[in-house]
Formats: sequence, C-alpha cells, structure tokens
Amino acid sequence: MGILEGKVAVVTGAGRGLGRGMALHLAREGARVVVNDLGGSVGGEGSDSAVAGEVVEEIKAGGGEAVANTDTVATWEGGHSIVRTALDHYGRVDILLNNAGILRDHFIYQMSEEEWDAVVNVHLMGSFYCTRAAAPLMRKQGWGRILFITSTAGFIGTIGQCNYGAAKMGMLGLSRSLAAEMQPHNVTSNCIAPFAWTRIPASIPAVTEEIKESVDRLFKDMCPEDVSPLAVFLASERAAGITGQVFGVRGKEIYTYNQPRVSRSIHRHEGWTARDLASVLEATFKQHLTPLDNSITFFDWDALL
Amino acid sequence: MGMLDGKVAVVTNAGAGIGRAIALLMAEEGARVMVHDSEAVAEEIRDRGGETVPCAASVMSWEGSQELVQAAVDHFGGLDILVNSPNADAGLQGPMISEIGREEWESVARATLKAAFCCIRAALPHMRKQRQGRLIHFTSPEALVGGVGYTQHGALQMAVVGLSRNAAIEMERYRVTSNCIVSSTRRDSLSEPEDVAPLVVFLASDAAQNLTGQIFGVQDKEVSLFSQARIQRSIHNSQGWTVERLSETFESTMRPYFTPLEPS
Repeated sequence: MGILEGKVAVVTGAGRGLGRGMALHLAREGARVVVNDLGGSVGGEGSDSAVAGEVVEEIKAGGGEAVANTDTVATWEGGHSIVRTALDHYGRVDILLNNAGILRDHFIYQMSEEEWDAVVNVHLMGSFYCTRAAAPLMRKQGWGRILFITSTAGFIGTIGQCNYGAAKMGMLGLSRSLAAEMQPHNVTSNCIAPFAWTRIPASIPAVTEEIKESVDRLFKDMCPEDVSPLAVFLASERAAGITGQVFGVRGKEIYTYNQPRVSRSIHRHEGWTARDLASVLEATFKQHLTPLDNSITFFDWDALL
Repeated sequence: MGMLDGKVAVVTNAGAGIGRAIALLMAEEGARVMVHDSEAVAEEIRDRGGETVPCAASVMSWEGSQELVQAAVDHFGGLDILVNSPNADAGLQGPMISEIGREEWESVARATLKAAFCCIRAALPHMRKQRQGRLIHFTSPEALVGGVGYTQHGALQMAVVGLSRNAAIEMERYRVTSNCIVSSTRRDSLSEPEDVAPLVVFLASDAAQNLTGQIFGVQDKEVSLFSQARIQRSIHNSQGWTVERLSETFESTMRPYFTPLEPS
C-alpha cells in the first residue's frame, strides 16, 4: 500500500523532466494524478496535447490512475481549470506541485518586455493562479500539501536569468506567507530548489566553454529521480508540520536553506546621517556581507552522486 | 560639498513617504533629481535651491519607464542612480489567499514587480555605457519573514529581492551596484521616512562602491544587514534517498535547522 493512497495530486508541467518524475512517483505511492502540461517548447511557445497524455499512459501502464490537462498555468482561468480537472475527475485535491517552467535567457540590460513577462507569468503568476485555485479547497477539507519548485537562480543569483531568478525568489515569499496562513488548517507549503538534467538547463546557452563546463558539472549527472523522493515525502502524511521551508536536492545530497534574517545591526541614538553611515557601515558589516557568488561559482565542488 | 554632487537620480513614487524623503535628501546632497509623480515635491526641492524636474510617466509600463529615464537623460545628461521607492498602496496587508481577486493581484503585480523591472531595464543601458550606476530597491520585513495576509505582497516583494540580487551579479563588471532595503510597510511601523533616506543616499554615493547584492534594513534608528538563503544543513545517503529513508532521518537531522514560522 502506497503512502499516498486516497490522495489526489496536481502536478503542473508534468509532461517532461522533473514534473514527469514527480508525477510518476506520486502515482506509484497511490495518488491519483492530474498530469498538467501545455506541451510547449522550453521557451513557452507552441503546444502539444500529446505530451501530458503520454505520462498519463505511463502511469496507467504501471497500474496507477491519472488524467491529462493541457491548460496553461499562466492565466487565472488556466490555473483554475487545472484544479477543476482534479475536482471533476476525483472530487478533491490534496497535493499541488507547482513545477511548470520555461526559460528565456538574456542579459538584464537587453531583456525584452516579452521575455520578462513570459517567464514571470509561468513561474510566479502561474504558481499563484494554481495555488489560489487549490488553497480554498485544501483549507475547507483541513488537509493539503503545496510545493513550489524554485531555483538557486533566485536566492543565490545567476547570469542572464533575471526574469527566472526574480520569479523563483517570488515563490519563496509566496510559500512562506502561505505557510503562515494555512498552518491552522493542516496545509503545508514548502519550496524545493533542485538540480537535475532536464531540457531546462540543457537550453542554457553555452556562450563560453567555461559556461558549458559549469552547466555540465551542475546538472549533467543529476536526474529527476533524485528529486522525487523528497517531493513525495513532503507531500505525504509523514511530513506533517514541515512548512515554510526551503530545501535543495543535488545528486544524493539534500539541503535545508536558511532564510534571510538580520545578521548584524548598528544603532545610533540620535539617528543616522548618510555621512555617519559612510564612515561606519562598510567596516562594521564587512565580515557579514553575502559574497557576490552566483549559483555556478557557489556550487564549485563535485556533487555526491 | 554634497555626497551626491554631480549625480543624476531618478526616484520613483516620490510624491509621499519614503520616496519623497529620499528625493529631498538626495537634492540636498547635490544630486539633480528626476522626481517621479509629484509636481509638489519638485517644487519643494526647487524652493530649497535644488535642481529637479518632475515627470508624471507611469512606471507600471515599459513605455512609461523608458520615458521617465529618457527625461532624466535629456534634462541632466545622464543617469547615475535609480531608486525604486515603494508604492504606498502596494505594500499593505491584504486578504488571505482565498480572497485575493484577479484584478487586485494583477494590478499589484504591475505596480511592484513589473514596475521595478521596467525601470531597471530602462536605466541599465545608460549605466552600462558610463560604467557606473546605483540601483536601490525596497522590500519589507513582512515579505521576508512571511505572515497572514501577505501572500501577494510576499510573492511580489521577494521577487524584487531576487531581481536586485541578479542585477548585482550581472552588472558587477560595469561598476553598477544593486541593493535592497527592508523597510516596514505597516502603518504602526516605528520608522519614519526620514530614517530611511540617509541609508539610500549613502548607498547611492561613491562611498558605497563595494557594497552590492546585499539586503539592508532600517528600523527606527537602527540600520541592519540581512543574511541570505544559503545551505544550512546537508544530508547525504550513499544509496540515494527514498521516501522511507527520508521519513526516518528528517525529524532528527533536518527539523532542528528549519526557519520557524514567526510573526514578522
């Protein structure tokens, strides 16, 4: 008997990569799964209704239960329609996995409005729309699990992905306040920042040999199957009370990340002037500043595989 | 000598509160200030002998932000400092997530996150060209710590933190710094706008060239530095993790390192 027997899960972007891996694992543990995928390109263009259907067939072939949905997460209607698919077919929704994602990389000083909107609309707005649709149902039934697939591109930072990084950091804020609101209702909300070799990192432009090597080192040998056990655990009864946290997965390693809090303060009775700050602040805070690493330089060691 | 002599600054949402205090202090320190959205504050600056121009373009759109930055460049010959001041209406505690309407979500998203990006995007080509610049953004303790009624605010204001950090990384080579200031949006907050302005002026000055990608805070007479999300605890299993193995270990190895839910 699976640990998710009787539960209904919605996984966005479940047609490929991480989403597919998590949907398959949830189904193996007994959850009935709404496999959502628009079937678009990495850049979010086009659609292919067959992509979600293939994962549904795979789940059914393994003896599980699943239904396909091909709506976009990036609109209010789309998010609500995805959650409605769960209600229509299974009468409830217990688990929401906000995973759908696209990339449109460009230097920040050259990024177009369209590149910004497309990425923010899928990752951040899309997570909000699906969560907005599912949260009232979970609250009413007094049980729920919400997960956000975020990225170190948000809280550590990276190059050429300010749209993606901003949207991924936004998920931390959404998840954290959601956790506070839903705590009395046994609904938890957590973030996972994974590394896995999927078409998303594979699309990062290898502008230099150095970038190619870094991307290979960060992602190449890591698979979606490394990530799904943590997602399934957090989605289960066993993770009761675990909420408002940020986790990471890298190969066989699992991390918990701290969250931004005051690390050092200076106080002056009569208040600060800009000149006073100029003479005191840098020297006092120097040892406590966060280095300007990006997620490639930060993870500058081999993963445990 | 002013700390910002010779600098050109664009201050958004400068009509009241923090934005107004920043515009006034920057002008006092010698900056020529493009005052967004307030004829009255521009007049106040001129009365005190400062150099300023108002601009009413809406920063909630690509075109409006371009217009605002272009106006600064046309009037003053360049752009050194961009301050994305908080939008007074966008930071307040909102409804629980179940009650947030589509209109409300989309308009707050435009006023905060989209506006921050559009202004940065308009300003950066100029700063990149002159190999020098300052971006200053705002977020709130409510967004960072989380709380009931702050899902919308938290999502959008944390995204601004991510945007600021990514801007700092990408623009380092062009000597453009980017920092975020945590300042409470609550009406019962202890801080006055005048407490916040000195930190902004310092970060905008040449004296702060080495400070970038950071999160600073102001509360009353206290100025603080925030940590950022980094690995707190790591567990490894040589056979790879399964749900069973995670269930056995999580409580004792991971939970003690969680960030507890707490009131902001």
